[in-house]
Amino acid sequence: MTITVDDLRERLTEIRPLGLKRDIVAAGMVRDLAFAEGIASVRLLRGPLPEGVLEATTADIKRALGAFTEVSAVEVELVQAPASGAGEIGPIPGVADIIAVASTKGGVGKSTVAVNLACALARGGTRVGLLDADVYGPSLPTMLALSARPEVAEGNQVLPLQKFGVAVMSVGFFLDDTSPVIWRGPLVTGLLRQFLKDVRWGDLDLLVIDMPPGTGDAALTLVQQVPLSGAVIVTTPQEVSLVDVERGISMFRQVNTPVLGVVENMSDYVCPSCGTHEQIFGSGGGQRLAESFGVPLLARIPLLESVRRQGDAGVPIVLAEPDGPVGKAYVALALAVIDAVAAERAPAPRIVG
Amino acid sequence: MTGPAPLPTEIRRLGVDALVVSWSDGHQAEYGNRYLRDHCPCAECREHPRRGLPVRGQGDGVYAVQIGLVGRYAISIQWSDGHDSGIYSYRLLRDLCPCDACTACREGAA
Repeated sequence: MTITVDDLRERLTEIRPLGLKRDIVAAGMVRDLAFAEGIASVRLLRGPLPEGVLEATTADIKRALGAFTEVSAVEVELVQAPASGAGEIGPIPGVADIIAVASTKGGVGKSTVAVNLACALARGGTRVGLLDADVYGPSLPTMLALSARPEVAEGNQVLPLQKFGVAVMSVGFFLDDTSPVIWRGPLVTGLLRQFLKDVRWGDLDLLVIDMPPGTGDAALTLVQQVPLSGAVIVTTPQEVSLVDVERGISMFRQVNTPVLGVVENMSDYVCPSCGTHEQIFGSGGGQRLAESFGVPLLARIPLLESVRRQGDAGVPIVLAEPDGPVGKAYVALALAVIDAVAAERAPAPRIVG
Repeated sequence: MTGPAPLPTEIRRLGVDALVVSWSDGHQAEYGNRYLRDHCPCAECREHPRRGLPVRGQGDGVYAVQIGLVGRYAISIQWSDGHDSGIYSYRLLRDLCPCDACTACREGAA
């Protein structure tokens, strides 16, 4: 008769180290179990068990598995738990800071702000990545005129596309143009986890996440999975959208993510023929909001027809017209964001022992 | 509340017995594993403390197998009894602080 890994695992369930209420399999201590050519190898999680108990457990494992006549040797390797645990992703390798660009309401230009912010940062020399986490309506492929599919590197890692000096990843790269994105919560969560875990960003100073709209499942997944250095909230000046912004600020406050500030988008309409400023959506809303919540107003971005035109053409306005009123506003926003991130940097607790 | 909320700077496992949490304001306290496990904030433990997995009053042998960071506001603990769904926010950890001073403060407020 031949034995399988399952037979070995079954046998391991009989081992219960001193002081443990469950056997080593149920307690999650058996990280890996393999059987090949008569050799059974076990990777055992150390946990905080005392050395003596670990030695006894190792001996028990060798005895238990060695009892199979098919097993000629048993190898037990003791491994330390990784720093991040319980399925959380923790900091992304190589990425120094992660910020979220969020809005609690659609149509305020969140993605436009995220793209232009990333490009403005890259233009200033920051190594920046841009993750389009707006899974339901990914707009980055259009805004950056990107249609290639990302390449897959070894280890099933996906390489981001490069455009204007920005490393870019979007769910849109994997979809056909016309297919609607109809996903239930768990699928969205799984996809976002993959984006955070399986994209090889390389060394970045800052990763900008274009957040899913609202305060739902997808947004919560993101704030739980990665330690955000801060959030930038995009709004328009009128009252109705400001009410929603309050919700967004509360959400980030609840998860201890600093709100770096508010960006008031479409704040002035500048008439292309006469240069007159018109405040179509009212005025001062972002300022009032910033004051009542004690967060800075990072930028007021004027509304220009060319913002939309350049966005549709795949050249963000900050690169197309860096010296125009909108371009200047984005360059100033990039500097304000860098400052705010540096000011908010609080180290994560060390987990030791 | 005055000033920013204190944040943990270090979470140290003390063998199989306890976690020691050090805070940014200099506070430090030892949390017994049993105590933390009993105060698991997950829905299951709050609503059905005696159902399913061993939860309360079943010996002291529970310890943290793995501790993970959740965003930048909480930790998750994978307990040796297999339970891992509780998210302990820093605020909750601080509110649960079992040191004499904090306990006295809570009892005074109650």
